[in-house]
Amino acid sequence: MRTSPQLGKHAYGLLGLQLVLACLPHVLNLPWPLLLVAGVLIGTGFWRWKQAYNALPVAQTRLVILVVVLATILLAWLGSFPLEDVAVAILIIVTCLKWLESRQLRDAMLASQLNFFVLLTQFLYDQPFWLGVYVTLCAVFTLRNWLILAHPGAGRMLPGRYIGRLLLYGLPMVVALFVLFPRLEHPIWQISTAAQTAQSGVSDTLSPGSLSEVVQSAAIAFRAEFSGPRPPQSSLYWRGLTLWDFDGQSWRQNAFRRQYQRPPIESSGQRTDYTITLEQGNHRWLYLLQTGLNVQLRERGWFSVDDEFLLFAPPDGRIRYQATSGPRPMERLDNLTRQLALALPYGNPRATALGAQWAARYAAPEARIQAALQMFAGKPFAYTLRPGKLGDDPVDEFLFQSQKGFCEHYASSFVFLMRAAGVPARVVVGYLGGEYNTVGNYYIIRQADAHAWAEVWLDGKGWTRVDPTAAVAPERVERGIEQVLPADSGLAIQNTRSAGWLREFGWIADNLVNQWNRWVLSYDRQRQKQLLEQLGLDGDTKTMVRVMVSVLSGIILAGMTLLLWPRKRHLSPEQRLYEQYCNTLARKGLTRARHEGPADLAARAGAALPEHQAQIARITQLYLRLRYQTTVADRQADLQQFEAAVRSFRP
Amino acid sequence: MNDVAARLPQQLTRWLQRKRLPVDGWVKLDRKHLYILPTWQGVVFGTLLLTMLLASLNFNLSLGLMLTFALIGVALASMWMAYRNLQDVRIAVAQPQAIFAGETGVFPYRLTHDDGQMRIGVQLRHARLVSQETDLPPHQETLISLCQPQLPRGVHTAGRLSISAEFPFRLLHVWSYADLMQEVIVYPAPEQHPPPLPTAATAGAESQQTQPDDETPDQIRNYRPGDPLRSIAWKHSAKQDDLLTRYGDIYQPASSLIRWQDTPANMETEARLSRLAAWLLMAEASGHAFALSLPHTETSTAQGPAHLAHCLALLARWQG
Repeated sequence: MRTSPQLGKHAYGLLGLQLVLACLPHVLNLPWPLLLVAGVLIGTGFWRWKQAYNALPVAQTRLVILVVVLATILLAWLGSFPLEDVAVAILIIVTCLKWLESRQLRDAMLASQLNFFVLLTQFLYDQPFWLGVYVTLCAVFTLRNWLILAHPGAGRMLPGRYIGRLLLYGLPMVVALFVLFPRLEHPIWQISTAAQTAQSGVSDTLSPGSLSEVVQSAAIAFRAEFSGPRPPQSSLYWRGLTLWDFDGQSWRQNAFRRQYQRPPIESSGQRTDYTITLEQGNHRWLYLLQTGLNVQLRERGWFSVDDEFLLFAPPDGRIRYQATSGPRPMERLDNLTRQLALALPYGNPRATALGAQWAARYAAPEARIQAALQMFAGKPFAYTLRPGKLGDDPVDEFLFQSQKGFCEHYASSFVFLMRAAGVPARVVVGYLGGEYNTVGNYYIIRQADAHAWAEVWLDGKGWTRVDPTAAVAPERVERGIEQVLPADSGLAIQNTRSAGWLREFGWIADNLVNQWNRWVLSYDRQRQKQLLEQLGLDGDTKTMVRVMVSVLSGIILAGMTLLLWPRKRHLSPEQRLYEQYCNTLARKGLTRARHEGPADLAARAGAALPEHQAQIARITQLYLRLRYQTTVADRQADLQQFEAAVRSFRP
Repeated sequence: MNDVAARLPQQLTRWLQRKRLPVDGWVKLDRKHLYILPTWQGVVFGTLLLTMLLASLNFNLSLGLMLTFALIGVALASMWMAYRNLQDVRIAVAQPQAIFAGETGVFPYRLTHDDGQMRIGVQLRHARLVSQETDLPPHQETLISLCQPQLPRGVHTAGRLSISAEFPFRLLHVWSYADLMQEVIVYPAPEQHPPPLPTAATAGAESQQTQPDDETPDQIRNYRPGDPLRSIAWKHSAKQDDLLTRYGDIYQPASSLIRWQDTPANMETEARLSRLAAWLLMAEASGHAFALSLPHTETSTAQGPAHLAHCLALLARWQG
């Protein structure tokens, strides 16, 4: 192989700078011992750079490299770092080492190329908009350095603009590839997800105090967009799970019922279509309005018999799904389900007795429900985030002693009372309401909107939603949680949903984030399929590859045509003026022959147009001087004279 | 069938190596004769992009895919730019300088192009000779030379020349060929301490020689280009419009005949040529007219740089 040119101090410094910039956001991601290793290497590099640049791995540098490599092995072995972090750290260390040993142009180019991979690893952790912008800037900087290092002559021709042109020419390709390149349905290789921290959110167990913790967070749970008119906020009960089994303390899913798939529903009522972008979380279900009829995510889960949509695995990122909800056709309550919906554990004797009392007094189940709701609406019951501890019989203690509780207390005790009164009932967890973003026309549902309510079975109506919280705090349902609780309850949401321009600004920002998530981040196999189907094509991979190949070939063909299209000769100013003069002569019938030099033409023209002989001679003389004799200093003056002479030549 | 198969590579080779001869002195690197292949760096970069693509696909990183595709876009656009960087460049030979054996031979070429774009990092190559990478500014000719040190005596022809560039990023190698047949003449190196000009050649002439004198009757003819100044008969010429020159046996100007047979027969050919070259230089330096006589060849008697160059070139071309 040929020897490459040696690098200078400036080039070495640039390589270091681009590496530091590429690694910088990892400060937020990597554990500090791994960061320290990379920091030591980078520090060594800059120390060498300061010491009259010498990138050769001489004694100290070698020692540092040895120590660092040993330290990394030791750290990876001893420390219990996530595999992902170790992989990223190793890549960074390799890139640093390449930089440290860069002596020739070849090394510099490889170091630049590795830099792109380091930039890519940023996205393993998160992909917000600002990081996209930052990585783009870093990539352009790296490309610019590469361009200048590879060809120092390129430094004279505005490398930034040149890179811009390259990106612009590549843009059709980028768009076509991004839209059409087939995505994987399932990852080929998965790093253990144990590293993912458990995100707070609605869980599949409801116990006293579990929701009031979730509600503290202003984090976004999901965003919902309606394709038709939007339903009123008070009817937005986002159903997650139905909880059947009560052990005296907590409500849980019924392991038996969740296994069974619901037969497809033919519904004739009015439907609501909406799209939900669900943030990443540790849940294995989706949120739907009552009753979820269809979800365009069928391959990832199933509808259970309780109209929940359950996922095979927790989503490995943000997911987006279109759903349809509508009224459910009438059904019968079988005996098994009735038994489950009436089952009560041992304990809570006073509540059981109260239920039995209502069952004796009211014949109609609706009246028993009214009795319970009236009790909650009565004075001593309060809606609060800090209900205090409950003991062994939480329902009794809540109903007859503390009488202060959050929605989980109301839902839980309501369902308990209904079962005791002989009305089949179950608990539902999910979210209620949301904040309508008028900028982007969608609802933002935050963790603070987490909610629990009840569903009771009424003969002739089926499963009917009853929200006991509405009885004690109707504003919760109408306007949202921040309206109900006092301002000093320390909810993060109260800052987020503060009134005025700040809120407007928040909507604009959230809308940008939502569009970003929608069009860029959650563009996956599913969306690709939809896109192709909208174009009237088959959504399978084969068609996708065909379309992609056709579009890419089209772009390449267009590029080739542009490249190979015969281009007009580029003329210098004097050539252009001389051509103008030749055209003037041609109009007089004196066409210049291909072999004819300027002097020969002048002789012929002078003979044909004797009155212009002097002018022709002057033009020819000036032209020849400009073409073959003029010096840089005289050129401008000569050119002006020549232009004047050609312009005034009108035979 | 076999016959065709056997002939095909030969024909392919012949087609691939077809001559790119100059038209009006110039070879234009048009689109039909530009070739492009990735360099090793390009292959490495391609592998890296593939790895980045797989990583992004596996973890479904939309932004990672975007970055990868942007780099693929830049790589493809740079293919376009690399092609344009060399397209329609024209190349012609420049006047080479003759050298003495052992000096560095320089094969100069002129390059130019017709549009306003700067062409960057153009390199010439012939066999093992590689030029510097040179940028071609618009609207002017740029000289690029191939240098070969330690050339032996003879006439050296640089045949097929390859013109290449790897701008931008050195991911792709774009090249073309030109058969320009640039020639550099290498004279024999003059002997360091040569003996004086052989007396046999000069003495005979000098013994008869008297200072020419316009009164002495001699033969006179019309001046011909190349006649030495001192042989012009000024007084006779003054009487006529044309110059007259003396000639013949009566007037012998101080001139030398440098003959192959005056060098020792037991010397090696190259050494004999070196001595002849040294004598030619001595004769030219002394200001005398001289002639060179080689077996089967003899030059006229004359002087001046052109005559010296002609004689030295004869030595350079001398074979056996």
